[in-house]
Amino acid sequence: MIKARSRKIKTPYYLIMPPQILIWVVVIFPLLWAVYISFHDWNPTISPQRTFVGIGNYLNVLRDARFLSALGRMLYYSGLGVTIQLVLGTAIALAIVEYIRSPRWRTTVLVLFLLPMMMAEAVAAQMWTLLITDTGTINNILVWLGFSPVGWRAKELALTTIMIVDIWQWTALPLLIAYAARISIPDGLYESARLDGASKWLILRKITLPYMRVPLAIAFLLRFMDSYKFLDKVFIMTYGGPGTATELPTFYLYQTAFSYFKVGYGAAMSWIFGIIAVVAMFFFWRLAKRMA
Amino acid sequence: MITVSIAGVSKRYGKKVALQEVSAEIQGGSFFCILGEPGAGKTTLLRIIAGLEVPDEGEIFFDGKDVTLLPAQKRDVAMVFQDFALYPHMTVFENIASPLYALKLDEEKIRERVHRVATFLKIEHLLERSPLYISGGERQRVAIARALVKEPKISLFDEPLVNLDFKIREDMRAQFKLMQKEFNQTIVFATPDPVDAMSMADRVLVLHEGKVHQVATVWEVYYRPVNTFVAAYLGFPPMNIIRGTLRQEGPKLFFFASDLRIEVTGLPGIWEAKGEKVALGVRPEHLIVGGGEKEMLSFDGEVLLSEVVGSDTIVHVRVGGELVLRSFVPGIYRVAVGERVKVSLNPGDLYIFQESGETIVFPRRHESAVNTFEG
Amino acid sequence: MKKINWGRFFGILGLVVYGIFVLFPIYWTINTSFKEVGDVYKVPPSFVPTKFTLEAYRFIFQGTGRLALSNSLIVAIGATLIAVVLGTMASYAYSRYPFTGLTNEGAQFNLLTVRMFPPIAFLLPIFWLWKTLGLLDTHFALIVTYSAFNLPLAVWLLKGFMDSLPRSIEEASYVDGYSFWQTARRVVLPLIGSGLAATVALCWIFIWNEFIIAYLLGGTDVILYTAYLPALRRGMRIMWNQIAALSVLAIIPSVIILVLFRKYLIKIYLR
Repeated sequence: MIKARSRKIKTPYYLIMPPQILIWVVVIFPLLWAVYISFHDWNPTISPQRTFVGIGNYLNVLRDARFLSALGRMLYYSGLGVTIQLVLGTAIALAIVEYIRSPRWRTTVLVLFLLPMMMAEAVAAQMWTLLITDTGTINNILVWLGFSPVGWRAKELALTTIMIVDIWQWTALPLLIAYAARISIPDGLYESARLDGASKWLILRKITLPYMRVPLAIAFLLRFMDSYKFLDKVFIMTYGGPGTATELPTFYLYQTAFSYFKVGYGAAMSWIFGIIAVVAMFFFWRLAKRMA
Repeated sequence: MITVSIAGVSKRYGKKVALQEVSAEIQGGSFFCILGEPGAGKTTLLRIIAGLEVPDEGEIFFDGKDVTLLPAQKRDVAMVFQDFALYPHMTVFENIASPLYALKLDEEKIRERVHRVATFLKIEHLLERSPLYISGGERQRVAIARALVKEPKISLFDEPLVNLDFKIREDMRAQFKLMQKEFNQTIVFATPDPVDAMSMADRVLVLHEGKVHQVATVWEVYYRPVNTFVAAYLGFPPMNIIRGTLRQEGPKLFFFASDLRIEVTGLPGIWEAKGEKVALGVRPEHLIVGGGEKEMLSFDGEVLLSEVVGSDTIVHVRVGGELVLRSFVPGIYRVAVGERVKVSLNPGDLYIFQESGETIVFPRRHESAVNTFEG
Repeated sequence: MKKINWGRFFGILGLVVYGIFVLFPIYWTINTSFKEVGDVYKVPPSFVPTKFTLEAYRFIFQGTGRLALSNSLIVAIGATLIAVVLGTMASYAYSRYPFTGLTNEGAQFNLLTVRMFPPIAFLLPIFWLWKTLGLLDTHFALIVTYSAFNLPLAVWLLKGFMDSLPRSIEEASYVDGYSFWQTARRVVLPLIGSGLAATVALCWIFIWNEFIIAYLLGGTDVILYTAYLPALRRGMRIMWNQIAALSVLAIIPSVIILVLFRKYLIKIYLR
């Protein structure tokens, strides 16, 4: 009498199927193939031969000086760049809340400040390239004012320049988050603090910042997560150069895979880099959770 | 109007047993109450009847037809959810008319029926409003309207009075009875409040931790509860239940608890008691404070507390050492704390329960009441 | 009293300085887009076009520029649609039917991975996938790839909205007599409408702004504007005004979205 209770397990697999198929075919299988190929030495431009080298590729990546210096650059760039973005973004957000009272002005200013974030990295890169080439706009202005031009794309400055462009574009994100956090703090706290006669700095330290710790930690994570995927600006503004001055790991990976066509080696590198990224992420995630 | 049969329904959620072999019969046109504490399984049972869930074991029959696997859409039932579940993006009219749209009735008919129900529930002035901006009581009536307008085979209500103010609750109880008569509905009503059951239901199913303790008419459940749980549940304030022992002294049988000693020799069925440990039960309204007639048993007691509830009084009295009994006194009864009073009861009002909870002795005094109201 | 004035003065000054910093490149690009080619390199630089001209825009519209922009449009719309539709289905299922076991956790996990890995790491194998299938440089490959990349985002966002929709409202619809699909149409979709809009906007922006996938998987037949930009830099004279024009055109959709959604932005980020 109790027939198949198949109705109970009515979970609509047909709803899950298409999305899962898409992910599996386009993402998972290629990833698995990448694992496979990473154990081989394969350069299709030389020969269609694939020779098995085991974990040789992985070891070579870890010993690859170029890769390691790329990682170093990334740390400088991510660490410093993201920190500046956070600090600057927070400062601007607080300034907006403090000094601009009318809501309409606030919205306008916010919209304007958020513009850089909305555009493609590639577009931002192009915008800035025009400004920073040796005969670019900024140098033109400097010369016009009587200063000497600056080699923005020279070896010493190139990475910093790109970092500045990144700051220009992405400070908006921590700004937005800080702003949202700031306006969610109840006014009552500020009023009672002012009644108690607290100085502005004290208010900042004791009231504002604690409330913003968690959102800022999230902002940091988000930006950090994005920063190691970074490629567009490097590609367009300096193409890794001059030399390898602005070569970040992603760019080196690109070169390996699509310029030198060392596919197997590139696959190993992408896994190593990916794992480093994920590990770093989890590390920071835990840190952020502990702060909350 | 159909008969619903619930046969051996069981339902588990992972390790948790929600319902265990629940069976009952619901007559067409009757008001059936599922009574139980929160978590007892009322909502689960209701949802199985509605077709929103499928039982792991057992069947549901509508007029003899097995509908256990039939989905809710096809069962022609109506349900009022605990949170009312109104569509926030539609007007009240559209909410109420929703089941009628599904049936594809024509506009005229829909408008007619919606207005009829809305007028009955006194919400016709709200028809064009959004359900977000009306009060809780109004929202509930919209939910009820949506259920009624369909004229379904059965209507299911999940704790509808729980979210309402006390005063409105009283009014709604009367409304429900009227509603049933007017629209000739079979109503299944889940509630944790025994007052709801007592005032509205024809038959009651007492559910506890997924098991059915008793299914019977309201009077039977009240006067002949099958165990201590049911006995204590129905009645406000709850029945006084005293644990103690039976001891035979000569040809007589006595009940002992603390300093209390009551002769129970003559109580019908007492000699079938298994074991010594029993519980004695007496309803607060059968305990007389400061008065009483001669055939009654009396004890001395000391007043601990006297609380006025509504326009009546509940007096807490300490008797026989450590036992505290509650007595229900109609009207406002003034008595001071610490005052010594006489507490009397009629042995014909006594219940005796087995240690495991089953009732051994029912007071025969009320047999006639049960029989009068049955059927 | 004096103290407050100074603080406020510097505060607003700071904001103004930052504002200049932010807006200058944008202003300059717009400025450049309306210039003649020679005007671009002048010293002292012309803050306003010496001769206002639309020749850059004309070039973009007549040539590959239009093709690039329209390709981007097609791909962005297509991929966003697929990602959001599939995302809605998946997020509904995950929200309403918490599966025990591998299916649910596994799905959540691969969602997260796609998010965290650098896209370039995926591109390596994906490039070869499409190459083997002979589908490089096709709309199909681009749309499918972008959909796959944005699906996790769509599911994550939409699941939040699905979760906040009480199940009882759907069940009320069933009891009323509606089938699953009717309920989806009448109840579920309208009630997560704003969430859908937000998800569409976000997915769109990510796809529209994307570069490296477009560059590697596109080619001559299918160029997306982001990949076309660097192409304009080849050659003897870099036509900055054209690049500027294309940039301006490219930003317009994003700006529109920003302006339209400005009130919601804060709410989204608060989540």
